[in-house]
Amino acid sequence: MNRSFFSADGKIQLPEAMIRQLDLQPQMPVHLFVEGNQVVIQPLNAVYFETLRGLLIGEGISAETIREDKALDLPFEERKLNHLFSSGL
Amino acid sequence: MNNLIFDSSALAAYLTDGPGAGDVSDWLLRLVGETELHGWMSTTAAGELYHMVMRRKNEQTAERALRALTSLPIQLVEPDLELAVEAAKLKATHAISYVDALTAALTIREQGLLIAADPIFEELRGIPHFSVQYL
Repeated sequence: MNRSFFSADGKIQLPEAMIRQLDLQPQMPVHLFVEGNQVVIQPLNAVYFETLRGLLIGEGISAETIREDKALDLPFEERKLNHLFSSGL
Repeated sequence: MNNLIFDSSALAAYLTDGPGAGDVSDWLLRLVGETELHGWMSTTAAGELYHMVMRRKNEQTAERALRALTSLPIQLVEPDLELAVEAAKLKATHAISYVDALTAALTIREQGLLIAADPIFEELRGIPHFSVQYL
């Protein structure tokens, strides 16, 4: 089999060469997404998880800045609560 | 414990390669390798990650983070009224944000282990069925 195709029950048949290239293993979960007019098959494996790790490095974002932002949200919620009660709720 | 609940702070640590990012990688590998293990995250926590990235950077970067998140073996859970009320009870009695309360309520409902980088969840230590592991 040289070509991929969808079967009637929604399964995607892949050529053996592609399965080897993607290193797909039985029962291995994959992520499917649409990119333009293509469906991308992304195996969920250690290589992929290492690719995503640090995706936001160099964007000026760190776990510390995000913790700081989270800490800022709490006073906002308290202020909203106080406003609700001062409005007669 | 078969259910892992991810806080936005854990995903932030992972995506920024911060402290504990390797632990998150390990958990993700276990999620794809162990069929009895399940990963969960509330849609509100996903939204929290989105707004924090967008606030610090821009919408495009936030979209990248969201696409990465939705590709992971973590099921996003939309809070229902029951979960919202349980979160409200936690919020009313502890000094935590409502988004964190939803994450904690999900952890308690699933009797899972919360994976977090934010120590705010110490507020909830001692509550039955609430377990947290910090990165």
